[in-house]
Parts: sequence; C-alpha cells; structure tokens
Amino acid sequence: MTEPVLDLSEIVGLYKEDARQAVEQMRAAVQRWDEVVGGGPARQLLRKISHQLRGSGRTYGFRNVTRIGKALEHLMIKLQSKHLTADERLRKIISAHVERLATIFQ
Amino acid sequence: MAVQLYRVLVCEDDPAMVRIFQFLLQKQGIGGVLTTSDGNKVIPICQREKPHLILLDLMLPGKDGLTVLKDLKSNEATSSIPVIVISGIESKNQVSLAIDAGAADYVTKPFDSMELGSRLRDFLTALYNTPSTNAGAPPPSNMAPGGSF
Repeated sequence: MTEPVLDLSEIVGLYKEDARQAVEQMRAAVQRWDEVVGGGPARQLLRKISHQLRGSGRTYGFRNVTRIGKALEHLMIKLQSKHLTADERLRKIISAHVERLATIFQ
Repeated sequence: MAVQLYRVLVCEDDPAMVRIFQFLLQKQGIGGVLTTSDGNKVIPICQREKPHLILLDLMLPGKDGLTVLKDLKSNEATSSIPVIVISGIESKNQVSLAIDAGAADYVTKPFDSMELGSRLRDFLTALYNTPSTNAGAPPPSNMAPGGSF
C-alpha cells in the first residue's frame, strides 16, 4: 500500500522565493567578512539564517538544504566558540556552502 | 468539540515555518491559527485569545521561548494551555529543560510535515474531545495528552 503524501506544492513556491532572498542575505553577509571576523551583525545573520534553513529545508522536502544549513550552523557555532579562525579558508568554505544553496533554489 | 473551533497559537520568528504550521493546521481542518514572532506578546495574546494549544519555538526575539514557557506555566490564566515546543535545538539538556518547565512535548526541526499535522490534530482531539472536558476551555494542566510526538 502506498503511503499518503502531503502535497506541499501550494507553499513550496513561496518557500523557494523566501529562501532565495535568504541566500542573497547570506552572500551579502559573506561580503562583509570583517563583520564575520569581528563577531558583528553579518556573523549573527549567517548563524540565524543557517539555523532557519536547517529547520525548514527537510520540512519542505529539501533534504540538502537541511544538510548544508546544519553544516553552516556548525561552522558558525565553532567560530563563535573560537574553535575556528575566521580566515580566508573559512570564508571560501562558507561561500561554497552558500553557493550550493543558491543552486538548489535557482 | 469540532476541530475547526480549535485555536492554535504559533510562536515562531521564521516566516517559512509559520507558513508551514498554518498550512498543516488548516489541512487538518483547524480554523483558528494565531501567530506571533515576538516572545513578549505570547502572554497577552493567550490572555486575550485563550488558545487551545501553543506551538512554541525556543529562539524567539524579545523573550526566549524557555522563559516564555515558564511565564505561561506560572500565570494562572495561561498555565493550563498545553505547549508543544518545536525547536531546532536538539540537545537532550534543552529537551529536559523544556519538559521540566511544563512543555507537553518537544518536537525537533526539521520534522515530517504530514506526521506532525495529523499528530497535532490527534493531540487536540485527545485533549478536548473527552466527555469530562469542558469544550471551549483549556484543559486542567494535569491532563495528559493522548499521544506523544
């Protein structure tokens, strides 16, 4: 017997639209790397959006979004607790994750 | 009590999650979905609207969800309203804190949308659709939910 499936198509379009904006905000935050280094608003924003995408991604059927959001949030937590240094390598890793998100929501 | 008469307060600051809660609750036939993204507004809304259930995120602007939960449970007017915490925080310590503070249950984000929708309906039905329950009013705080999440 087939499991009933909840049709989320009514709201997935709106989700993708919001997510695209969130990804743009993340891109802009990465551009303000000095704020990420200094623990300013850009770092807080990256952490907040990562956390939100982790929670909402799989809920809307986007498992990869949850996976990437979780990885990003983990990086931001480690950065906050000073287990990571905000260097160029980290910037590239974060940027690559953000671009993967952008590809998903294209 | 008819499902469409239930009022559920969604306390969540992520618009994407608010939208999915509204969608899931409406799909279950629950007519009254109230929302707020501000932890400071939860108690005043509850006093005014008397919801039958609160879905509470822990990371709320204004006042964090755990403090909101404690405030709800220490306020005579709101203590009997069941609260389900729905949070992205997965730590066992956080779950214990929420349950100890009076949460009826703790659901971790992300969740299975269909399962959560039907369980919310079952939860409300088990709480309010019993002969001893005064329909329309929140249940006594010691009333156990019919199923866990």
